[in-house]
Amino acid sequence: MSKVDSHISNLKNLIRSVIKENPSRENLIFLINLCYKTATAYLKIKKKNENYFLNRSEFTIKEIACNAIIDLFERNEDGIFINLTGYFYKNDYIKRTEEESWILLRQLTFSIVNQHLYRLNNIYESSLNKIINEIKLHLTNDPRLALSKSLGNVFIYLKDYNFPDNKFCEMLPEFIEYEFTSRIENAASVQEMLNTLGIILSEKENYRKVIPLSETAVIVRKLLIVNHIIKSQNNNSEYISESELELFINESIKNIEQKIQSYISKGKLDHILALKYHKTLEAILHRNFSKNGNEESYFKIIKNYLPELTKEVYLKDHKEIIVYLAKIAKDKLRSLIKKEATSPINT
Amino acid sequence: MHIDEANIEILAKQIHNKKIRKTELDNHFQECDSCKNKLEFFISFYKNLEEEFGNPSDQNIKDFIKKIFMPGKKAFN
Repeated sequence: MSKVDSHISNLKNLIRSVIKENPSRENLIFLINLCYKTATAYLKIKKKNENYFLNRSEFTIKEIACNAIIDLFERNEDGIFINLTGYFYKNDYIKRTEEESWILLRQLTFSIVNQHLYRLNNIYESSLNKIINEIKLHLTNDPRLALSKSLGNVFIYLKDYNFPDNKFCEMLPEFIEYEFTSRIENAASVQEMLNTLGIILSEKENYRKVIPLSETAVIVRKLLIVNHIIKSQNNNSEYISESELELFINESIKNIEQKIQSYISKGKLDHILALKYHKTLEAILHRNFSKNGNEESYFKIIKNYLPELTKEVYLKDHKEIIVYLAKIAKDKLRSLIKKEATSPINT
Repeated sequence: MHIDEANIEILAKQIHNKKIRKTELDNHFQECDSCKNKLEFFISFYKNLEEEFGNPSDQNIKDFIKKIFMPGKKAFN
């Protein structure tokens, strides 16, 4: 590891010396090395946890860390380190302790590494700051949710809730993400996602009715990426004709017939309801994949076949099965379309 | 009881520095998977980071790195 100026005794001084004009070469290289090693240590955990984006990348951990740190130390025409300077001034680092300065640097490095991973995968990525700003904008007029600052972090909380309450834990981000994905339709807007977040926070007892803004933004970004992937996969249907699509939809529905039969044999479904499910799933596939199809919520679609159905009954008795069967049918249909669209005959 | 991230990081450093044992924290972390996962994450992170630093010969660098691994007081309070 490179040397550092002898008068620099701590991280805060090192950061200060680098973000001022004309830092010494030693100090700059030392800080770059520190961030590089932090990025590498972080990426090694991601690798161990089989991170999806890292596994898809053709670059090594060291290459990814190196490129991320190049982004972190980007300079403008005047030679100012724009990312570093903006971040540390925004977080008022002068007033921070040594411990807090390190945490800020670590968080910034992690954030840059994550942004770089998304970019490497050629996946649509609206920077987290942009999403955070969009969430903040929506929350200015939100009847249910508001922002609050506590312990240096910004939280989203329910307005009719006494914040903060240490009696309960916050919900795990993974848990909220699961709740989100099971409730949100494809192509949901940020506002729709926030509405759902409000419902989730108010419904879940035994949890603090708060979620950090940054974690919300990460979940929203993931959902936007998933929407983008689904959209790009669905776009393959442009390469096939409507009659071919009809055949593939039939094939996909056949694929779930066995599941439906097993529900009937277990007494979970009767034959009449099974037929309605069958029609609902066919309609879901048409609406999602046909050129003229308009995406609609599963509830609205099933209501065409069960007009008396209320939202409450749907959520209680039907949603779980419909969502599960629709997922299997859609996956099958996507693979059939993709196979056809990428078949050598079509090239 | 929820433990904020900054303090979990400090606890992870204390475990890394062998000031406390992870088992001593079991009672505090058994109620919350999120906190437990964060603790595991930070323990792994500091282990990896120490490996990345290796054993620098320069005393000034050694002292500098030592400060990064030194658990401080509760942060952002």
